[in-house]
Amino acid sequence: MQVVCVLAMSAFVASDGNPQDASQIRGTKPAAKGRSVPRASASGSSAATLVSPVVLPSTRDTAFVIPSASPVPSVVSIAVPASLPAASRVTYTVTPLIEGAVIGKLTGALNPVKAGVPRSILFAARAPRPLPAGEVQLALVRFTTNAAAVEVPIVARVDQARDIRIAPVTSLGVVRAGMSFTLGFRLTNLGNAPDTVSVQVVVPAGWRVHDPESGRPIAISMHGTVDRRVQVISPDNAQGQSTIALVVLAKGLPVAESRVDVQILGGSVVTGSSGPTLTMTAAAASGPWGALAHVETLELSGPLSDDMTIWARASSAPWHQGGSAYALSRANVLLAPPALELSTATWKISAGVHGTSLSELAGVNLVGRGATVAVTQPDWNARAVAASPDVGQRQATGSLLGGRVEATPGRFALSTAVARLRETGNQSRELEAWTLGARVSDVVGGQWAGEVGRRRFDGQTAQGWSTTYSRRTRDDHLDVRYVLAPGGSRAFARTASELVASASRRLGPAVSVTGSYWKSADEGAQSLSGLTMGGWSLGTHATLGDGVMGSLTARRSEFGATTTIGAFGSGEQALDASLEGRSGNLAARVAMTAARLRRVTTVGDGSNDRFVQQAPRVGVRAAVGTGHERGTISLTGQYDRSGAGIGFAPVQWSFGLEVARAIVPGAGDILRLNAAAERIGGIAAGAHQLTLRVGLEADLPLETSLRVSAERNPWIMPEADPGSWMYVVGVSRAVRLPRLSHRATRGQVFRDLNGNDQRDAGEPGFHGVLLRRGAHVAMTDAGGRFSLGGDERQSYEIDARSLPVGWLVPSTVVAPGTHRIGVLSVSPLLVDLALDEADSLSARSVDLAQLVVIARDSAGREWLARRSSRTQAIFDALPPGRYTIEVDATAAREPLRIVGDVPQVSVSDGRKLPPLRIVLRPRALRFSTPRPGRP
Amino acid sequence: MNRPVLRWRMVALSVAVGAAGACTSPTSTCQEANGVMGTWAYDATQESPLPGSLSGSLVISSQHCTDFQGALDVVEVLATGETRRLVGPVSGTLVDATVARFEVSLGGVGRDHLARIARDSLAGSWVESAGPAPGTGRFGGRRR
Repeated sequence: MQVVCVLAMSAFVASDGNPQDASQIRGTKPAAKGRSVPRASASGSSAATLVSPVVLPSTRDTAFVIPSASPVPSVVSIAVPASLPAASRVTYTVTPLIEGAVIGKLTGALNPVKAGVPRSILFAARAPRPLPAGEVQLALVRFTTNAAAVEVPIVARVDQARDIRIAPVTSLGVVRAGMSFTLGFRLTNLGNAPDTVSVQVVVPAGWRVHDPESGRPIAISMHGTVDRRVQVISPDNAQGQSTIALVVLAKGLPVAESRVDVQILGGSVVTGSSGPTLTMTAAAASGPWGALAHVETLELSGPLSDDMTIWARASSAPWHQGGSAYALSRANVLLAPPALELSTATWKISAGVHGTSLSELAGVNLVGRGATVAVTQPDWNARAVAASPDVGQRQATGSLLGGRVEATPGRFALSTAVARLRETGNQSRELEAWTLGARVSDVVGGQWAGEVGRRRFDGQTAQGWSTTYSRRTRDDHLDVRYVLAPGGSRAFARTASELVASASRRLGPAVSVTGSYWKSADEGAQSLSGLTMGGWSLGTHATLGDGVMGSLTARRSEFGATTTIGAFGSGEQALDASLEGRSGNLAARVAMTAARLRRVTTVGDGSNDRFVQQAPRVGVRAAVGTGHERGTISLTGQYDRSGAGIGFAPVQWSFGLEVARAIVPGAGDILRLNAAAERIGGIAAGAHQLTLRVGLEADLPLETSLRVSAERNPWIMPEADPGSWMYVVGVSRAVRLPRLSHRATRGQVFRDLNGNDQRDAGEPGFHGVLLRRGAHVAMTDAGGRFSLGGDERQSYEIDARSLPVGWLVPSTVVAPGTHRIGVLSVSPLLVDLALDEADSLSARSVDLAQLVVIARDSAGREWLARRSSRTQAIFDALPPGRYTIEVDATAAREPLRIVGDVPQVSVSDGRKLPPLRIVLRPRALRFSTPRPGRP
Repeated sequence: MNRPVLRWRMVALSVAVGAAGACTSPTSTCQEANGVMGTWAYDATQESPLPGSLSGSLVISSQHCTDFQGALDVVEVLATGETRRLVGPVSGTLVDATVARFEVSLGGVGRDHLARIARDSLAGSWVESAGPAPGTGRFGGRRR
């Protein structure tokens, strides 16, 4: 026997040792002379439909195996079984058991030969369609003599062809920052054997996945599907759009992949009719400082109305002292006085304790209790402040009054500012100022600004001026600022004079350089009669390889101060180098510093003794860590050495281990562990050597979170009991409040189950659908309700990607004034076409592939099916309705009609429809007697 | 004959070098230095760039000759009224019998202090030398 692979084989030959030409074989009549050919298959081949009047007993010979079947035909040579006498004439019949598996005529006869002379037949066999992996019987060859019959099975050995598909339920996920959403996907096995895979959900950095079955093998039957869902949690600072990859792994190798875009809803996004979020936090701390410290805070943040955003905070005890302030911070509690901000696109009001600045010459760092109003219009902007410097903790009196207006008609801008600022108490400052400013865009690719002003302070008046230039491009940046502000920090300026410059430039795809310079002088506030600062830095950053970066920076800084005691100054020249690398989830960094420190002290007691101390300093810091969605772990270490009396310590070292946001096994993703241990040596003595911290965070229902922690930190409690522990517990709950007013489009997206474009009873809302109007974005709530900002007179869009597979909208563009949007459930329908076997003889010439299958709805609209094979047609997505299925056989050779009633299907709620089988029969021919006179 | 003389000269030189190296501070002898060891109540104000205040304790835990080390533990009230706890190591030198110079690292930034010591109290100024617009202020302390 032999098997030869050929590209095409339609000929059919036989060999009996004495070569015969093919015509002799072709001349053999099928089923001639009444020889028996059993009906071996129901597949309807011509050979198989003949009926033998005499049935001979048959035996089965060893199967002929095609080692690797494929759609490409293989020439098969089958020898006549030795059990049949050579002197007998042998007829044979090839019965395909799979349609299309055998090419050519299927019957013939072999003449008698001398004993020992082999006889065989040749034909072409193939796997006409994907077959299940393993051994599949393609055909049966029956050799018949007058006295006996022998059957030889033709078996194909089919290799496994893996074909796994993964499809997300929606191609666009929607989630609020810091919240989770359900990501559903369907695995389909289109291969030719049952398969086992696993799915890896690849999320961006900072995202987490809750999949209790992560990594577990998923068994899928052949042509089967498996639906899975995982929870994806976005980080608190997520924004914009991200992409999640679903990777299917088989034996560790990726075999399929799909991606899902995720839209993150930010603060300006409205979900339903939600307003600002009110976060209530209560925390308590216990430690060696004595009584239990506790605090309750409120924070309100989010859209107060469609155009207005609010941020406000209040605390029951904003002035905690001592260690409890640190301890309470472990519960995410910030001790601060009350404050409020209201803002729209054109104005902003800040009230309570807050800070602001007017200009370099009219006053910076204005902090107090009061209000600031800022207005921004296309052609102008303005800011005004009215506040008291008394913020409740410092003994300060006075008033902070000022305003600034800027006109911005085009490239040029002109501004003026007026200020009357007075603060007395422990720290006294005073300024009356009037300034004029200008700003020009597109100056050598950057922006220039200047200001002149008259400043009055401490009973004297002086002129000041400032100029700035700023330019930023993709490859470089340059910032230069010079300010001359007489009075300096005593008169609400940063310093009396300063020159600051910084620049960077990219020299190539992997190398950039940066540099900076600063020099300033101040007349001092009260304790200093003079202060000078200066320094520079020059560095380079380079990408040394895939994920490896290095930097080298030289720098110098110094200051000199004059006090009533004397003068003191300090300087440092240093060289910093760092190297960091990243490989997958692993990251490492090493930084080294070599410096020379210099201290100068002059005692102003008349002796003017000048003491100079100098010492070298070296330091090394290293960190290595790994992080993924289930938490991060890092190791850190540092070593610093400097001369005695200079620097923070002659020798200081530390090393530590930290675990952050690690998901506690067995508790889902709601419980996370934070733990750290650090050992410090050198300057610290004895009990100051070890800090320990362990805490748990739990996400509870109703948007409530719980934090508990215990910490032993000698640095926080050096006096009382360095070895003692402090304990903190905090509970926080976020509540979404309704908005005060609405001018936006309110509406509802619902499931239009009957397709009538009306919301009827029993048609629920659709959750998680994304709608857009320009920059405004909204997501429907659990009831399908939404509130979308923007101009109501304009149309808006529904993002079809946020709809699950099987649902669609008639149009993604929604006309203005539309408040109810019906989403249609669509269903696939598979139609199997078959010929009536009772009449297959006359219908065998019908090519079913020529038929067109049509679904006609109640309105008379036609939906055409897609042909997936010769006998199958698929309607991929039929909307709700009642359909009559028709078959257009115009292109077929034979006239066909549907057996039985005309099939009808009803699509209602997106449920999967069972396959529809349509049996066709050639139309009966009518015979009639011609009427007289007619042909 | 010369060997004992050379040996004594080397011993004398070693003692001299050792004595000089034992105290590298500006003060000529350790005996003149006041002890700063102990716990001090520390109160400071910030004058620029923003008003603020700090209060806590300064603990000098070790002193060798005129060099001393310890830790500063303070609660800082920012200009906006927010409070934060700051703790950092201290390293300094007695410049003379009444003037101390020390440096403390708070929040990763160094603050230089110059103070005059009068028995159980001290007072002076501090400078935070980070960037062109430094933080400055004054401080005082009482021994506890």
